[in-house]
Amino acid sequence: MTHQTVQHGTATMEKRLSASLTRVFAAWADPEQRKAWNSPSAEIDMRIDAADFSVGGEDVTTCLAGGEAIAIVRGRYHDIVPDKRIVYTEIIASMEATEGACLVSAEFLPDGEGTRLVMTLQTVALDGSALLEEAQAGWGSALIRLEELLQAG
Amino acid sequence: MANYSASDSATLDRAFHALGDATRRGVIAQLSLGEASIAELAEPYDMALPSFLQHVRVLEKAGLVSSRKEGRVRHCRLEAARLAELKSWITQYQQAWAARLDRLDTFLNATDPKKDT
Repeated sequence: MTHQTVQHGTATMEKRLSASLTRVFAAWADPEQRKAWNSPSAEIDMRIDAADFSVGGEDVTTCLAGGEAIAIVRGRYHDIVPDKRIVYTEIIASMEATEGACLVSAEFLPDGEGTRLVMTLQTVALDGSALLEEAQAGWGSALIRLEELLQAG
Repeated sequence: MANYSASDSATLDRAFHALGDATRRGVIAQLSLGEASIAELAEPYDMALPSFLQHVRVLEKAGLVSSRKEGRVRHCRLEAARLAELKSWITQYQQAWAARLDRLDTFLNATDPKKDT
């Protein structure tokens, strides 16, 4: 595995939510609500170090596994239109290196009484991401991780 | 390693679907130890052969397993590059987002003020 990795990916995903636009938007805007659902995995707790939901504002979140810091996520808001869209960048770093960055576009569309959430993720994986892949030595652990992902999904 | 772009997200979905079954994950785990024939792969499972072959076909369609025939025996092998792609950082990041959106839905339903629970 090379340490000179720059990989790009673009993905869109949609989610139909039965909650209203206002409630869905609030779940993103309010750091206390965001903390309840925004962890990347059920085993990881989020500690909010800074939260500034405004254009140009910064969020700093530390990911904790068993009380130990494993990653820091820095978010910067670029565009906020209440009940319509949020565009921000997210920089994900482990304790050793920056793993990757993502331009996240979240669009909130009315769908009957509920909401259709359209996500576009424009991602770049950097050198640090190779450390993470290397850390998963062997197929065994990769499969276990995959299984966790599938169960989480 | 191939880049994951939106155009092949269907391929990615197929691969994750293929892995969303205990029998098929078992086949992958067994093939990670080396090539095996269909008969060897099917042995641990209490399943009719046609049903088992269906599972192998799903794995083949997802590009996770390939097979070749030698005489009357079909040998399967793991497509390790495909599996490696699935554990790439970008794929994991995107999968984490899919899981987040599910949790967002759960959270919103649990805190719905219109519900008495």
